[in-house]
Amino acid sequence: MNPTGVEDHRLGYGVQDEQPAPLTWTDVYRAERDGLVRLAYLITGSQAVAEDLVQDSFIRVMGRIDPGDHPGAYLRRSVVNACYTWHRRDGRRSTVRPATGAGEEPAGPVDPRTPGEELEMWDALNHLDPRRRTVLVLRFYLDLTEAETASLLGWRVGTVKSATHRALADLRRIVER
Amino acid sequence: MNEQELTDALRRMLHRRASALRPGPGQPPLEGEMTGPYLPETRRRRPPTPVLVAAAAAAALVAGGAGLAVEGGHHATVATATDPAATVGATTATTAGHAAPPPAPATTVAPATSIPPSTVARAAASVAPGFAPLSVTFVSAAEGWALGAVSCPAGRCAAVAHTTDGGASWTPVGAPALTLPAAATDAPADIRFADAADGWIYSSTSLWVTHDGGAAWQAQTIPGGPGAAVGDLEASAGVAYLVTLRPGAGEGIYSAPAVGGSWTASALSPAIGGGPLPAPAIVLQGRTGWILTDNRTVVSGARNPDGAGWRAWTAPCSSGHGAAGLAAASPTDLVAWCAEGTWGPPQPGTTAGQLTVLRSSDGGSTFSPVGTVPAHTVGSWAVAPGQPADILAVTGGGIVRSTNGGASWTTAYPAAATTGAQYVGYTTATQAVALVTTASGQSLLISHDGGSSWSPVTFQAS
Repeated sequence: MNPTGVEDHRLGYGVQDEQPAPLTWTDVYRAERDGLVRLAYLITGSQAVAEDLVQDSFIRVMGRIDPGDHPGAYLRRSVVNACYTWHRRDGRRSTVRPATGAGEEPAGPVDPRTPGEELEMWDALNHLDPRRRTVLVLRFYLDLTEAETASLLGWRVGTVKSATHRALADLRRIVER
Repeated sequence: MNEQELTDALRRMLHRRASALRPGPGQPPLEGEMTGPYLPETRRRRPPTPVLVAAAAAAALVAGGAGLAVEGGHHATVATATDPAATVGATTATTAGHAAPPPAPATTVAPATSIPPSTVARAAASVAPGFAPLSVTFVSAAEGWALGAVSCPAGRCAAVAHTTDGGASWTPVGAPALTLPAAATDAPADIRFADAADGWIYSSTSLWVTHDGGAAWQAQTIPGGPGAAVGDLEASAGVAYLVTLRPGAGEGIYSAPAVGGSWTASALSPAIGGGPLPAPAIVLQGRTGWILTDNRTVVSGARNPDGAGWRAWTAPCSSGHGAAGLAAASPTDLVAWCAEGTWGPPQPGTTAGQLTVLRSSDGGSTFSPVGTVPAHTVGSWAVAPGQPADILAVTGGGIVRSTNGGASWTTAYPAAATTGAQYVGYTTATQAVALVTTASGQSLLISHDGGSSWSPVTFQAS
């Protein structure tokens, strides 16, 4: 295949013909990208890293499937895997704490009763083992079921159950000290 | 909290953090575009293309606590790479929107004020011999830091040691460029950590913060204008509180998120009193806090119920005309000691010179007497988290302990073994730490049985 623009990936109609108009990668990008950045941010703790990993995931997935072929699930799996790879390579240096800055403090008025508790919970999340942190984000932010989480991660359901249980125990221990 | 409350709080936090995020503008990738240091696995072999975005984890810029805007906020240090502990956190991701420089050795940004620059992380592999512990802080049973004094060309300089195994072993981390008075046993400086990453070192005239576990420290201007001095600093539940003393004015109460940010002033300004040595003490339990200031006698109090804000509070012992101290086992359970009748009449029902123990179960609204401490002075006072019956106190020569709320006391560490004790505190309900002076110098003691027995800590690897 030749290196030209996104148009080369436009196939016309999705496999199940569910889209009324041809779906392009630009469409998919616009629809999915911000949500994936938020997901990656919660898993890695860094906005800048999240944006890089999501960008890489688009490139990776764009090279493998068609935009009409349920790209959301592929993208999500790709992002989660990329976050885990990042944790293994760079996470030890970078997750001592996430960077704070203009993009990361809550925008708008914040209930004065919540910042302390929320920051403590976020900080607790930053101290979790990457696998446990990922499971918590998938189960309690994306609200995936145990089966969906297992499928996305490529684990057995039993592994998801025990990782969730241990992650919550870790979280409670840090938050309640 | 039960599992439902925990997962509810987790969900809330995750959704808030996610929705508060402002992703930078993104461009759908063109074929062959590579971003960041993470080369994608594509089926096609492409010739290498230039890295287009240099941000994120590769940057060697340390983003420090924002401090006050006047300093420009960002100090970088030269972090030596030989000590693995010093390397952790020395590289942090910058946020999108900052044009991050290409990876380069960290440089020192000289602030426009006369605040001394942040310091060089120690390259040593072990804590220097002669490290004299002056102050200690733990964020869990396992992880803590000790601020100590070591010999240096300027006399005695600050050094910091870090443990992750409950004090069994220690490694040096970075320290502020702080010179200490020679051979002082009164801690001229203190250290407090809120969590594994965020901590402070302060003396009355200086304030330093770290957001990477102690690898690098940045100087902060003490809020409150020229001449403002630090009175006390404590952190709990992700928030740090600072009480300052301002010449000719009352105290200043400030708070900042533990993870970094500028100090926000409270509207309340408790009185400093007319004596020579105002000593505010902050006591925190979760989001609830109390401030008790004594200056010969108890001169003011403040209370912050559940993070709602500081308001004036009648501290215990106010009518005892002597010094006082406070500790909290929970947001509602407090124990206090009052020195009776030092500068005026003792509280009714007490005799001058006694040390009354008072207990509150309603967050400090009311107190009732429990007993007395068999001593003339209390230097340090602590109650076990969640167990208001277990109290430790530093008295004239040693450490005493009560397991019945202060009604009766036993000697936990005898006066004969020390020439003075300076500090006692609980890290958990069963683990306690103490700072004492012995014939051979300053020593940090640890107890794993709630203060019943103690053993000295060795800072150097054997």
